Amino acid sequence: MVEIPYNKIIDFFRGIVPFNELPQDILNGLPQKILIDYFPKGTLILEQGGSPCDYLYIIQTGAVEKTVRKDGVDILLEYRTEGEFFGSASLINETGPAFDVRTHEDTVCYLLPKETFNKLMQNHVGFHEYFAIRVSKLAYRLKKAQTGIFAPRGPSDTVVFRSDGYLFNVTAGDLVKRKSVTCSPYHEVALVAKLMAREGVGAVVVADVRSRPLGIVTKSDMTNRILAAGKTGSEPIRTVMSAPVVSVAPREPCFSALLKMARFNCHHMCVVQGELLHGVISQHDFIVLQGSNPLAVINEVEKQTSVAGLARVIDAVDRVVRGLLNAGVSAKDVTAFISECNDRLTRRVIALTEKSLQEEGVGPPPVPYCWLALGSEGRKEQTLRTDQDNAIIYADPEPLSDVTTHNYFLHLGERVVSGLESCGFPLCKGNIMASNPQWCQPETIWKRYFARWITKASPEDLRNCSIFFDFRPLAGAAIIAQRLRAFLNEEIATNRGFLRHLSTNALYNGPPLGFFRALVVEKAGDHKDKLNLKMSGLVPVVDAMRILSLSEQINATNTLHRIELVSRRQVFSKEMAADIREAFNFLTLLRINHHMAQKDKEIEPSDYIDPRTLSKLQKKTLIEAFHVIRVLQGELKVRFPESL
Amino acid sequence: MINRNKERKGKRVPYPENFILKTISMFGFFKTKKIEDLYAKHTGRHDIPEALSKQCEVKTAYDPEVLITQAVFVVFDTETTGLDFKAGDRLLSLGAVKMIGVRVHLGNAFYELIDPEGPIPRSSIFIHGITPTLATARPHICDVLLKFLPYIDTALLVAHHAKFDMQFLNRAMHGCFGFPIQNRVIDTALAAAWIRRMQQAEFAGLQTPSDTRFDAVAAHFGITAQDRHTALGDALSTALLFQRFINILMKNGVKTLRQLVRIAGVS
Repeated sequence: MVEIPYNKIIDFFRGIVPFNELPQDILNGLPQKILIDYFPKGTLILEQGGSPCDYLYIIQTGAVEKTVRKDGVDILLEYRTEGEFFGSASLINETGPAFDVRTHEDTVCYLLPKETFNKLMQNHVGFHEYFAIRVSKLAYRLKKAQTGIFAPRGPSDTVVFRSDGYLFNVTAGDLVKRKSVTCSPYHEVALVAKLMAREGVGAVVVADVRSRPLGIVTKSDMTNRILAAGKTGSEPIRTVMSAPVVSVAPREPCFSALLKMARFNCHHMCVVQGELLHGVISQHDFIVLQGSNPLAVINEVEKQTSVAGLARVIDAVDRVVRGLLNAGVSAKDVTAFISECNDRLTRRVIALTEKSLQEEGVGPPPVPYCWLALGSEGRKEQTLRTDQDNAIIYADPEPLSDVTTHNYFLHLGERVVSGLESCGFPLCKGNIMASNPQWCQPETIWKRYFARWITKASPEDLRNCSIFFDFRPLAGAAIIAQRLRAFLNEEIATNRGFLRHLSTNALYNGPPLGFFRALVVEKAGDHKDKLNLKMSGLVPVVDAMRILSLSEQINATNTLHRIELVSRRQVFSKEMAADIREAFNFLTLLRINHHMAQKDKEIEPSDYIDPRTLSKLQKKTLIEAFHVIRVLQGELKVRFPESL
Repeated sequence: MINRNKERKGKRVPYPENFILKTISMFGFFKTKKIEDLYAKHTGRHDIPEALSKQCEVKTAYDPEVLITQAVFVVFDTETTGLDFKAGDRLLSLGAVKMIGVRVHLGNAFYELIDPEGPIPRSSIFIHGITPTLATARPHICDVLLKFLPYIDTALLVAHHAKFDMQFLNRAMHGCFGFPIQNRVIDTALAAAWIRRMQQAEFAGLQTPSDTRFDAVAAHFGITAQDRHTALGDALSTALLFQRFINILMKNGVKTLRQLVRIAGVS
């Protein structure tokens, strides 16, 4: 028989996750196994509690709705439409469907028989993983719908579900934020109640001397078992505590903790490592966690009315970043998110400070000013919370050295810097901050600084250039910063020799590659056998792109953006640009992951990494990345020959 | 020919049920003999091949009271060298998919290219993308039919404008074996026309009230054509169309094969 041409069907499956991961020959054989079925609008395809599915249903055209019945009310779980499927949970667990599936409109489905599905599950890891995760997600949704967190569906309103990825990426241990409040089983109830009030907690863990949890007492226990039962405060706490405690290991993902809570119908549970208490998590923590989607966090920043409030939001930012990293989001997106959060946070701190200065009678800013982000912040390349690098530039007052104006901005700078510090941004070790009188200056003085650095080009000046020339207006009158940028471009254009100095300086840091592309590590000292990701990988790219941008009068500060713009000016080829971009992204991601891992181990984040800890593929990619950087530096050397 | 006319009469005249059953079974017995006779007369041999023996059972196997949702259908399409079989146009390919009730079983498909035994006119090359050189490596029509007949078994055949395809197929059947295909045939164009009469409003989109061309009907029912102008692709598209028709027909009380054949049967 002639081979059967099912190209359209094969293409259809190739476009669907996780079928797209199947090898070509398996995909080609797929149509042979498939049935096509048609269901008019309103058909009940699967019935809650009915017989287990024999097929995986893949929607070719149309849409279906999944609903669960609870106490006679239908709760809409979700819609599935073209290219999506249903029936997988029932198929995998061999149980009756946990929900009704009804066609929302006329629907054509491809039916993948059970045997074929099982064979794919057995033989293809990616396929298996996808469905394993999907099924556990679904279990959580169902639980949520059935425990009534979501209101039942009225005639017209629909419940929209948010993506719940964090519930699977975040562990129970991650949720523990503070040391739990404990008491001994022999303490009096009244004392425990006072403890609760003082610590502001809803639950106290009753633990023995070796901090093994024996039971837990919550506020509702206090009302129900003491007040309502007519007991007095002198009762020992062990008579009213709930025991044994419902506990979860810190490594368990949040959703399993949540399921446990639902099963035992409790509001608090202990996170227990071995036998020992690690912390307490409550249902409230899950609600907060649900709010830790990127958008919610950004909105949260905007809502805060005090610096102390902002400092609390920052934890949520960390959580989101971790979620993004776990979800395999690109370095570009992660740093973009971090920058966005930090920018908003900084703007918020500035606005709040300005307001409180006004309330204190100091008054509004006497002249327009602009808050400058410098260094990595200026380039939007921060990894979590790096040191502060900022400055203030204000419009020239009359006279230039007006003391009251200078004092106002210095005061503003000091307050903002300390506000940022309390939000977890460490102070700059080199004191490059708006609180430093030297970096809180009117426009004309800034221009003088820039001009002097460019003409003198002493080693210290060059170091300043690498920080200050990446300035970016963050708050206030951006026009002042733009004027400064225009001035800088003019100065560079008239002093081309300066770029040679800058280039020579930049070439001191090079990729640690030996002969035959072997990685070169530190020979001795604290970082023996390690290499510095930042200094020998990231900094050379950042420096090179800064120099090329200054030379081409490109005003962008972000390195990836600079690569894009520089390649558009045909300074180097598109392929080269893509290589550099890739190398830079890889190094950034490696660095963020490295920092995260160190943070987990409670080690001070450092940029030194031991190449032996990397996987084979990572190591190979790292060598490739370094090679690209070496080529880039070669290019720089040719363009800006060493100054004599 | 005589048998056929009588049978048609039998369908129209409201005989008592047991009489119909008797008549049908009587004819069935008669027909079995007839096919073997026709085959023997045509080929001069009495050992009817295994592949053709199923054809003898088709008439007896047909139960008009079977529900459409449980019946087996073979939805097929042909590609030909031209429109007129009398003028020497021949079959080029034959494609079919099986349906059990409403479900299309993609794995159980049939697709064969056919040696047209002669030059292919240029005009059709353009439509099908098949060239004469490609056609030479194909099996002979008789070999294809020897595969197709066991494939269709006792199922009902379904095609769009089925009469056209059946003329070509039966001419080949007569040429090869001396008798026509015994299976009942359903025409989706007739079904479409019936549905149109039932639901005038729903068909408002068609270009003219009598437009039963496949593309127009398929477009009306929102079917995306599957590899149009290959016999299998068209067969699959027809199957998807038939799938929808079954649902509409069932909504209108058409539940058994008897009802379906009355509406859309070709004789």
